[in-house]
Amino acid sequence: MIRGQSLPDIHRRGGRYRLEHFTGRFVLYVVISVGAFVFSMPLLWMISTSLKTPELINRIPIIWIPPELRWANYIDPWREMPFLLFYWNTVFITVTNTAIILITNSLVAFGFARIPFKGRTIIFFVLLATMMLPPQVTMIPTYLFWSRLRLVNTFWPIMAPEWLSAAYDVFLMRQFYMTISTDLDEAARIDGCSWFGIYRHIILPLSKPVIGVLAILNFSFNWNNFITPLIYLNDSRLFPIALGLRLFETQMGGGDTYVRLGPLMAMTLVSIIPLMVAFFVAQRYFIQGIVITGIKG
Amino acid sequence: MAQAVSGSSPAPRRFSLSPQARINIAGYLFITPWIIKFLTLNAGAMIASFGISLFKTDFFTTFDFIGFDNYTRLFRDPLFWKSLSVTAYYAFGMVPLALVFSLVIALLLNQNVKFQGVYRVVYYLPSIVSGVAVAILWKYLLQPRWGLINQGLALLGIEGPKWLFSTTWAMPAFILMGVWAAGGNMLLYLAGLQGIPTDLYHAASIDGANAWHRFWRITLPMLTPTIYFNLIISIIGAWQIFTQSYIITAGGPDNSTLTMVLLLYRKGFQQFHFGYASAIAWVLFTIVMLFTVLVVRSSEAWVFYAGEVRG
Amino acid sequence: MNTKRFTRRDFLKGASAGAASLAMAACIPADTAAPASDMPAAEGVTLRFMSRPHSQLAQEVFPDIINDNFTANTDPTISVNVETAASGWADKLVTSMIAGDSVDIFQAWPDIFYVWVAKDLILDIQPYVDRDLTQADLDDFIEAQWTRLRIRGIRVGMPKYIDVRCMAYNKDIFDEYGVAYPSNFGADWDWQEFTAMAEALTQDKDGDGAIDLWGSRIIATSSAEFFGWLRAFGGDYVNPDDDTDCWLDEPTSQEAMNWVYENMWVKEPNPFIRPEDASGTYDDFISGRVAIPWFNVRPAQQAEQVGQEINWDYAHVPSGPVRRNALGDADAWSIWKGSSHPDEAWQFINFLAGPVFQELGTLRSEGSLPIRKSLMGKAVEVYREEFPAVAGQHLEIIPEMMEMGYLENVIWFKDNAAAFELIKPAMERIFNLGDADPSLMIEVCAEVEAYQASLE
Repeated sequence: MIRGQSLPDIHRRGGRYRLEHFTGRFVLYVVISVGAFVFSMPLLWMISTSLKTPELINRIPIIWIPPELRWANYIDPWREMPFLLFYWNTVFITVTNTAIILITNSLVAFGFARIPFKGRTIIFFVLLATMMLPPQVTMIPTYLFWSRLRLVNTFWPIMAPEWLSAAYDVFLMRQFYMTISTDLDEAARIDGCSWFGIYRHIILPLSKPVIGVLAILNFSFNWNNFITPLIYLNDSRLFPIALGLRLFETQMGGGDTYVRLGPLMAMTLVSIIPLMVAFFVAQRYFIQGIVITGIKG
Repeated sequence: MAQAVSGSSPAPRRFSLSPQARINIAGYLFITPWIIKFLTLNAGAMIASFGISLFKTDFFTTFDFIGFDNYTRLFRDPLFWKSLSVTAYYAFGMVPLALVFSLVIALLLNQNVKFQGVYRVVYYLPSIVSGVAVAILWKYLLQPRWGLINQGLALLGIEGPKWLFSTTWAMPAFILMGVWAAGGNMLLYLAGLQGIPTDLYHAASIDGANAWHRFWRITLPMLTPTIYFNLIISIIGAWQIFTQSYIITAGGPDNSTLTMVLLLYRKGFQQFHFGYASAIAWVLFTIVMLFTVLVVRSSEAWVFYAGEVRG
Repeated sequence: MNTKRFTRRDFLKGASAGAASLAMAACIPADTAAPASDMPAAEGVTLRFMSRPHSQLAQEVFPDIINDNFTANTDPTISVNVETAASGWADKLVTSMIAGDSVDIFQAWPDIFYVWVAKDLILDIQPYVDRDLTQADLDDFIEAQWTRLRIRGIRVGMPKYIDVRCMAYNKDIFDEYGVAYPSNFGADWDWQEFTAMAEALTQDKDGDGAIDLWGSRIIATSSAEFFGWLRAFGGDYVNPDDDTDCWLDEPTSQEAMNWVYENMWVKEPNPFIRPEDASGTYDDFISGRVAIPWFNVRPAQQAEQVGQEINWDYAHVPSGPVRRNALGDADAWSIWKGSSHPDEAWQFINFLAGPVFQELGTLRSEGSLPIRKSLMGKAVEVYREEFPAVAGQHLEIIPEMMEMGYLENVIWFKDNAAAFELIKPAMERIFNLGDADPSLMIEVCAEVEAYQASLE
């Protein structure tokens, strides 16, 4: 149990640490629990709202437990909208994108982090710069690009750009790779190992935590992404859930929006369950991840 | 790819490349996906939007080249200055707060506590619930008289501010929302913490360093690459704040939440001054760029990489 | 409840063809006599229709209603692709119009129309109207709505439904404080009577020194709606004869704003709830915080959101010193100017505004108010049948409003968005923050006029 040797164990040495240790743990639990309560507000509110009839929802002060639970909010939408289809679309887009993203991004990040090619610094800065222009302003030119390729109303505009790496992910992975000591790859280079070999055999096995984090972040991002599908998809049979959920909102005259919150919250909860499960499973994996012993910091 | 970039292929070559040239080829091959994306999607759109900023255009009826007039008009537009100060206020409040806050949470959640996984899910949750649900929830929480936050403050004997009904408190309310949704940053710190070799801690505790010293001498320096990442990403994200003011306040009250991106969105999509909107975007770009350069420049002094490759 | 929904759905989906042919028999001219386009459409045309249904049921059944009644009965060569749009549709529409691959037909409202017409994005349907609609058809539309769909010299579309403003009152609160209900459902009250009632119903129920029941709630910062009160006092946002002339500085408009401002921020106690104390209109109403809120007549929504939680009813808006006036909002279906099938698109939106779709689509499946006077009686019946929660309410207010003829629509500035960029923050200061009084509008108006006058 290598992981068990982290901070708390160190505290156990010596009697004078013991009391300090005990009160410390107590304070720790209090702080974490209070924080967890604050942070679970949205979830609690969503659960409560999802079980309410419309007239109970918009109440201030909030009614946390409705007198009668309205399970129909969880049942009716499946009949009213093709949610199974929305799910399938979402799963297809999310799983494919996440899988491909992790591969391309780690390759690109490896290039930036470990290979001292000419122009690296400036090109990396250009990569950062692509994030600095608000997407609202590049949306029209980008749409024109896909429109001219006649690929509007297909998954291509939603998937292909993701496959070709994302600045955020590359930056994050580069940061991580740069914390891994170069001693090993220098040795490997001398032994005649190719760059790809170093990537494959040295860097990749050490990247579990960062890949885990990026898997979660990308999974969540793609799962929740609605703006690209909104702009590019016309046919509701192609909609992902995030866009399907928007169909619970109605804009009435003059910009007045009417939201059917009960079913919206119910279906939102149903839709984030896979995310929470994925997170729960993955966090154990990547956070236990690795302990880089043997490599000098 | 392995073959192509291999510097040690035994096969005879017609001409030989210098080691640096080989390194260059390998580097560019690795970053090829990004280069393709940049050339097809980013570069075109960026150049186009800069080009548009030099025109007075609605894309339909007019397309007049006016040089830098949009920019000079911008600097005389009180709404632009207002949006700049609003956005700057948010960025300067949000970036340090979120940075520290998510680090503290990550450190707490890195302790060996029961139900650690559950806690992590809970803290991460606000960052994945987005859109209308969050907007509506916050409206209820922040309601000055009956909202949960002010009622909680009243229990402590504090009279809560009017939040979204106050020009002073509307933006702090947004910062509060931003910090609350900083679960993504927390995740990155958690992963960063795993990358710190435990033997460093062992060595330190044998040397008699206490927890405080270990934090300052080991944890913090080893986390600097993650902090650096979070800092730059937070700067970029904070300056582009849009959704909250778009959904919750529509820029009000009295323009106190009119952010730069909300202004450019209005100018573009609602009023069809696309040239002007692009000009705002490029000013925003320049500001973010300046701050990023500052951080990047300063990073040599405080970011510690174990595996830095010079070149 | 659920079986009820099923029968409604089944009725609208399956039986709609039968019901439609009955309805069609009653009014043949509008739908069948419309001459098909000059070119015989041998190939068949597919129209792209961006639909924004106002109910779940409508989302489900619109395609069937269209298929059964338009494609099958009117013109089999035209098929319609119903593209249900999510919120964010306007940005999508603008983007795709720039790229030239927009839908043929979409739904929007006047403040959008004002901008889009100026950008030449909307097809003028006046020639089709002149060609195909009879006087009887035209007389069946609600005047306010029909006139307001002529914007900057063109007719921007066919009306979809009408959204109208009224008041609602909580009878329990009236009874508790011994105040008489508005007589004749408000048909005879005026603003002074209304204010007096609001004052009488403003109370500190729990005696803690803070008001917790307010007489009324008026949302003065809503740019598309407040004009009804302005007009009731003889004022307006903009001079109806000069779209660069801001009227918020006129004594009449000032009087209207002062009336709201004083009741909200000056009087002690304030009979109109301040925004910072308010929640949603329906919430304030059913929670018993506001006795006579400003409301819409949306029975379908109110059956769901207000229901029978409290004992309440609809009332007409009170008349002001000059007249009675309320919003009759004009959502309409429009044709994109770049559409390659304008004739077919016209045929289709004429069908949407026709009696068949208005009954089956707008009224029965959306629960919205139809745009034809001839359907108002029917609307009352349908609401009573479909929404038992509002069956006891005075739904006759709907035909009454049409008869009394006080519904109007807002008139906009030349560059409306620019004008409201100045007006809205000032309105927020006056009504949401209470840190300025309506005279602030006098200087704001001067700024607005200076800018509007500078436009070509």
